[in-house]
Amino acid sequence: MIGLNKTLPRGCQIEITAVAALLIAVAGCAQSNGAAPNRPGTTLSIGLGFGSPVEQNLTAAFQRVVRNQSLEGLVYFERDGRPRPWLAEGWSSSTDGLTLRLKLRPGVTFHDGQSVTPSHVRDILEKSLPEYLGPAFRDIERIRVSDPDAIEFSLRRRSTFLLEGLDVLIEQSGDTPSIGTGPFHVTNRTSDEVEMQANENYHDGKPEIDRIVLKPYTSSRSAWADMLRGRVDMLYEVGIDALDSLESATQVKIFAFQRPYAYLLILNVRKPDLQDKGLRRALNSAIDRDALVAEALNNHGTPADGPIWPSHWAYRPDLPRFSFAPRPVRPASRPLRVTCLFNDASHERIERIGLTIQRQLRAVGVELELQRVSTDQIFGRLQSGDFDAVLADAQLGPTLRPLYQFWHSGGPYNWGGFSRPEVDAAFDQVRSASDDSAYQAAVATVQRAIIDDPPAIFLAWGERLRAVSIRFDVHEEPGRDILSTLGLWRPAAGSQLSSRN
Amino acid sequence: MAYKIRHIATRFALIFVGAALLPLIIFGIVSILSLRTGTRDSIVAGNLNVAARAAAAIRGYVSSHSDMLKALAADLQNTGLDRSQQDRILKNWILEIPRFREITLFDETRKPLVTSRVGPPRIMVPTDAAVSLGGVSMSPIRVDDDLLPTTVFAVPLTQLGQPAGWLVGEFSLEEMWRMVDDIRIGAHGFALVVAPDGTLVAHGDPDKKALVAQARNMKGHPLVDLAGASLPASREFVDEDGQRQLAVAAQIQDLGWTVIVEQPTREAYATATALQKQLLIAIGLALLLMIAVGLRFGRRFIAPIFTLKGATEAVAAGDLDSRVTITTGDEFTDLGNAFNSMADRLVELQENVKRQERQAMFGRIAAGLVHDLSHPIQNIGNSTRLLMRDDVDTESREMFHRTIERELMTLKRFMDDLRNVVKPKPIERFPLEVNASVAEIVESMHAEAERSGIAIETTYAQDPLVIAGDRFALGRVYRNLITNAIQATAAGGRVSIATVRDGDYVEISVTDTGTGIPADRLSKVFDDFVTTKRRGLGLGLAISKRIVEQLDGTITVESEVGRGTSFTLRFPAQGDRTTQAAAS
Repeated sequence: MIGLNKTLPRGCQIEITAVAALLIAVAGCAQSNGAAPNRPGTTLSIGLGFGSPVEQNLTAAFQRVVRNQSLEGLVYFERDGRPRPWLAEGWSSSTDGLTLRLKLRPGVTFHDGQSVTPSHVRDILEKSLPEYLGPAFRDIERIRVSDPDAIEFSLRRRSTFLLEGLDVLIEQSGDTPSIGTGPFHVTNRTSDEVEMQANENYHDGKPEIDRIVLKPYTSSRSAWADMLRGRVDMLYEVGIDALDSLESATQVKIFAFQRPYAYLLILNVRKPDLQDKGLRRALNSAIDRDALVAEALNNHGTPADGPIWPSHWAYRPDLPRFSFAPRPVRPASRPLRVTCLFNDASHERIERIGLTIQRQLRAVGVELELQRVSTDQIFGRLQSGDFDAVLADAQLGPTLRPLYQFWHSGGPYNWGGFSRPEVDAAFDQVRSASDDSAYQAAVATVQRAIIDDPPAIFLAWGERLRAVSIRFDVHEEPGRDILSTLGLWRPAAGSQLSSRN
Repeated sequence: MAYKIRHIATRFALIFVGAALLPLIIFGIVSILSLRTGTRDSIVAGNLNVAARAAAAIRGYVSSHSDMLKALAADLQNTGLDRSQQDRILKNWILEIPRFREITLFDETRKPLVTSRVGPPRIMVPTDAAVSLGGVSMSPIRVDDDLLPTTVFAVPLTQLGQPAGWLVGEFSLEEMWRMVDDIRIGAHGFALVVAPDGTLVAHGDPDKKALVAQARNMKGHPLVDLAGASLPASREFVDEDGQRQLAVAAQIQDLGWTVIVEQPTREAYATATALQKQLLIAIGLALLLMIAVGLRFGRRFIAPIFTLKGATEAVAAGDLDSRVTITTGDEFTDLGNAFNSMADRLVELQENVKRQERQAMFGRIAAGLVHDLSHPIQNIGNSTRLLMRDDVDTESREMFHRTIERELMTLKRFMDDLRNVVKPKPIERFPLEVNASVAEIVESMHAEAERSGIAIETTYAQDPLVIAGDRFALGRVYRNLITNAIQATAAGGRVSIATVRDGDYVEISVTDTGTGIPADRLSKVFDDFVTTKRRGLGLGLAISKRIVEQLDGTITVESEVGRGTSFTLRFPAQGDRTTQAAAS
């Protein structure tokens, strides 16, 4: 299954299979900056192989790689949800929390050669943040250039979500997409492949890999075969079922990382049958997550027993969590019928998850009717509220901001119409936390509020596998996607990479 | 060119080596062959066992799941369930048995009725089924997008003997891959599974799984039977990586698949190769030991021979006192004793020879003395007696007196010769006219020749011939030669004396028509005490030769038995002024 960072409204970091098609246009409109010079150097070929429908997923995956390598945010978030400087060299907040000042990293330029100035950044943020922050954008009164190398946010109220939203990707406005400051930039795009060249002026130094070539394959199998033939250096994604048989390969190294994405069943609480929070709690308690991870994810996942990303620094394991305690919600003769949509383009794994929870829910008197629908249909029905439940793979970490986007009453992805004052208040506590202890207390409140009144059935945190040829030394950081450190990869000692591709 | 071994010790060593080497080589070859054959047989048997067990396990795995699908089909058909119940059963079933990815029930028109999948089914009734397993047809294996091998089972359904549809299940053969992956022979021995059409469906080598994804056809593999011919259960071959492999194969019953277990021969035979090396080293060491023992034994064995050889060489060099001490107690001791006895006897014989030679020499000298002295003494005696008679006239008395003086002179010369042998008299060189000096001696010899009935003929060179010579010494030489010629020539014979000039040399020849000298004695006539005459010391020619050579001349002899002998003296000629001085 392929997740995307792009959907309606733009800026929302939801990974849901249904949004893939919406990115076709974005990917398709990307234009070449000119043919790549045919020069020697280190080339990394990334094979992306997907099943039907190929085009949607491929384009989305291409776009994901392209954006992640060419665009950067002002900050980025570690696996534990802590912010780290990126294009911003540092930041400071006034004691009342109403002013946030960001100092920009000096000497950073866009791929087109323009310097990244505070006014550039201000203009870009003013365009992108409303979508990206959702209701939290209203906390911002003004963004201004305070110094030649700094911008300043004036806030109407304290807002931790502002900083959490500053990982929004800084993209040069104009006709050419994906002009940013990242370590690589697109130089050629054809129907067969996308080529990216190393950013000679990258602020962290020119990457050791000179060129990236993204190659599409009609199936993972063909991409894998080409990798084992030495024609591809990396597989974008390896099916978790194949891990056992690939792990022993000596020419390929498999990298697994836990994603801050959760498989969940988004419930439409507007539906009368699903309005009862007790019933929704019962539904969550009816899920044997360990069995689910074992059966449907081949043990490559972690049970999601609550909404909070368990690696978040503020997560407390002693907080209330969902546990497997099935109890009938309806008599078997009169089951609760719930229609569950899932994306036709998604991986079989989603279907297997659906079938597993279908059986588990049946045991408590819920008849989950799985319905495979197209990407367009699923979006249409999400927008219109015409659904009972949607089985999705959604980003819920590593910060609290995605949760806010989903389940704050005004959140842009609150398709299920979930609106609970307690939950909104809990999010507001997080939003206005003045220090770590207040933040952690607020997170606990969110956890409690959602456990008490769950807007979804939380299932499991997913895992993703990537395969890289041993010809490359991969820069690994615990729990972090290796693609995010691509600028630090280097050819393995003694490997022959030049002109191979 | 044939190499000749000169040393007995070397021969002994080679004999030892040869005697030991041949059995060792035979033993080595037999051992190595046995080792290789035994190892190969053992490895082939072991690997075949592994392949056979894997084949049985794979068959069991596949057939058990096809049986399960058959049982499911029977349940669906015979229990009168409605479609929703069947749907639920199928969906539960694939959760219970995750190896089935999808199960779909088709009617007899191949229209899907119920499926475990959410939404329309992906699978269809296979039309390319190649294998029938207990009535369940099975499609060729393919690798799915999860990189796992899958096949499709189809169970035909019948009702009242009429076709009633199919229950079709997509089945993951991931477990088969695991079975194949688990087969590891040594570090580099792997198993692979090949479908009847030659398609590779599983490979245990992690780095060769790409071949499965490529659906590599293995028809080139020596153990893949595409033509239905019976193939050997094992084969050694060179794979596409250039590595020599030992492969065994076992068929999977009913499926027609072949499980092949391959192992690089260098690994398979590693133990045998190591043993082989150890054996070769042992043989080499044994060989070296044999050579050392052979050399040592040979040397000890032939030590007495060396001793004998040394003693023999010493005896040959004149050391007749050389003796050997051999205490081996065997035939060599007897040989040593025999050598010592022989040496003792040789000393004795040499003493005898010396004694006899001395006696013979003494006899010859005594006889020579008697011969040479008796005549002049007799002449002196006779002349003296005649002188003492009163009836001898003055003329006769004078003649007797001259005879006495002449014979005394002869005795004096004889004594001079003897003295000259012991202590050669120094030669004084003066220009000497040869014709005159020769004529003088010839004149003195006429009377003797006449007494012997021999005619003396002289031929002198017309011009004076001058050499640097000693008149008296050369006179002795002429006299010796003429005397010998007269004595060797029978009465009526002739002795010719001639002088000639030959370039820068002057030659004087004395030729007789006598008995001649045998060829075997000709070369020794100039040695001391060698004579062809019955009597005489045999010093004349030896002294003559010594005198001639002291005057830088040469003396040669030519002779033919029965025809005569010719001696030739050859001296460097002197210049004209010298000649005039000599003539004057």
